Amino acid sequence: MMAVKDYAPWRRAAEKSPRHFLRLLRRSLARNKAIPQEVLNSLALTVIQTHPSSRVLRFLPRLVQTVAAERGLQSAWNLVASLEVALHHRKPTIGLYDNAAHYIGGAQKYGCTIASALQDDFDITLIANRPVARSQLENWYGLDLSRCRVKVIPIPYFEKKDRLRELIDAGEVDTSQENPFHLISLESGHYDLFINNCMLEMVYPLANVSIFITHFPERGKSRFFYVKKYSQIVANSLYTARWIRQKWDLNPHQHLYPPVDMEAPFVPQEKENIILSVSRFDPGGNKQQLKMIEVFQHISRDQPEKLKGWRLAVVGGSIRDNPYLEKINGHLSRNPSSAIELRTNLPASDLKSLYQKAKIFWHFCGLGQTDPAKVEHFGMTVAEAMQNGCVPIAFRGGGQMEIVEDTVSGFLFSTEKELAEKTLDLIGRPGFLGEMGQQALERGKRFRREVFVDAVQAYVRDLVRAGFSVSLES
Amino acid sequence: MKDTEEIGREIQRLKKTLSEEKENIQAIEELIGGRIKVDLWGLGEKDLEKMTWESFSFLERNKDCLAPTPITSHREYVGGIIVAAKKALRALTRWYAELILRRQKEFDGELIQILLAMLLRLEKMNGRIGALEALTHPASPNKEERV
Repeated sequence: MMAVKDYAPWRRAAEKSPRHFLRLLRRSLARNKAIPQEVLNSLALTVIQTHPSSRVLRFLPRLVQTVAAERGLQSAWNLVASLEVALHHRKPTIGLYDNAAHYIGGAQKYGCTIASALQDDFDITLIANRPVARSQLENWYGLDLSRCRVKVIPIPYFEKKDRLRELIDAGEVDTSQENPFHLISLESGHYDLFINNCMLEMVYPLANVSIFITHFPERGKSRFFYVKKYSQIVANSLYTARWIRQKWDLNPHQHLYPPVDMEAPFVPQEKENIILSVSRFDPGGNKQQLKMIEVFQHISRDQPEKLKGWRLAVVGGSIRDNPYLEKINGHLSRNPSSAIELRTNLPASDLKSLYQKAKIFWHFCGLGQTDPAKVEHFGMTVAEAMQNGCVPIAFRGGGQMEIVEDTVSGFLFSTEKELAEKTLDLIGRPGFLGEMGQQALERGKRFRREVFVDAVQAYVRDLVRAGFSVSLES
Repeated sequence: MKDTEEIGREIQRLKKTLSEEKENIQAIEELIGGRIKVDLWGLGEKDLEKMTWESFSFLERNKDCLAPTPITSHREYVGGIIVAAKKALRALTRWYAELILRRQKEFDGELIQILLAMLLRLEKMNGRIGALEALTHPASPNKEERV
């Protein structure tokens, strides 16, 4: 963050005398010379640590006054807040924003796991736009969030009757008008660290340290594009990182795979001849369950002997009145098959049990797609299957290529023909299938919640150390 | 010996004052003490148009380089003397500054006029292109999609 050598004269001035430092600061600010906030914070701390109290007490109001006048009130507030943290007067605060916090989702689980991982070291506020209770979040994701609090800030723009939908869609914002998310930008200025967990590029970060978590760069640049203003950009996979570079011309600082916690309490021994698919029944058919059923029926017709005794379980969450689900049901009623099982909104325990029983896992998301947003950005369910020793055969694209090591811990395919060949090969070699299951199990551990938690804690501690000159371990 | 408690109290006092002042501010640009810089590369046509007019109105508002700016001093005790001295110095040098800046002001004014003329011409041309497109390709994509 801070290149110490560039500010050596400043540091010398801060050590020599507060007055000398202030003079240097005023001169630089008058010449519009930019000084990074973290450097300013660190230099002010040096003055406090080096000089006697009487001089410090005279220096502080003058410093704050100068900074407020030249760099704005927020900069002065950030400076004072950073001193509080650096001098251990209080814990650092985090504001973690998610405009879809009231909705169950993988990205939201990502944010809540971060909050849960950091709640001992920080005072955490979960910022939402629609009402959601902490207990709901704890139940949905199986997390302890007891030391976090929830703050709901409604956005009037999205509370209007014609825009009152379940999810807030920032794509609806008319950029020729005022930015409706400035309310959240203002809120971000009340924390030491602000985390934007919903990749909402229209929120301008005001905190000392800010993190922009990207699950995929959905929208292009607009007049309200502020991602560049964040201290850190985090990507959930290398695939997402590549698209951040391509779409926004920005380099992510860190990549953190999402936490996956579907591990069986014991290593499953007796598995059944089940090919499993777990995916949300996206109304647009993005996850391609229908294609999957058609392929299974096709293989069953072509190679009935080889698939004998095997069944396909297609499982996933769905909204009510889902046109895609109706389409699948229509297909199955026209082409009935006792070997195909379609199940929606399964309880977590049933889903876990299916993962433990299944030998093979199919994932088609991305097949035949040209839109990068419709390719799996990570592929949570693939990693969940692997954590249960279920051999994945997933589309060669998106985040799946980072999860599955082709021919080592599973298989990747590009065409339906390739998928059929690989599936039949696995089925025909039970010993090999068992070995691959073990490899998948080992690989799946890489994405465990504990791994994520350790990585988040280490990453944020480093950020705090650099931004506030303070070590949380101490 | 360092009185950390007193320093802590002073920090808290400063933060409280700043927080109170912050509460009264609803504009981000006021909080950060300057305009938010927008990266124009990659913006759609609608956003570019909005940005252009925003920047233009900023230029228009600040075109007078002869407009008086307040004279201040941050010094606690000698501030008054410094302000008086600055005022005297400014009065003494005004004739020379105005000699140079008046030409600058005329030049800036002319530039802003040209810029406005160009922007208005661009708008008219866009309107004509849109009308022509509507005549030749009735189902062509809208402006934003074209970008």
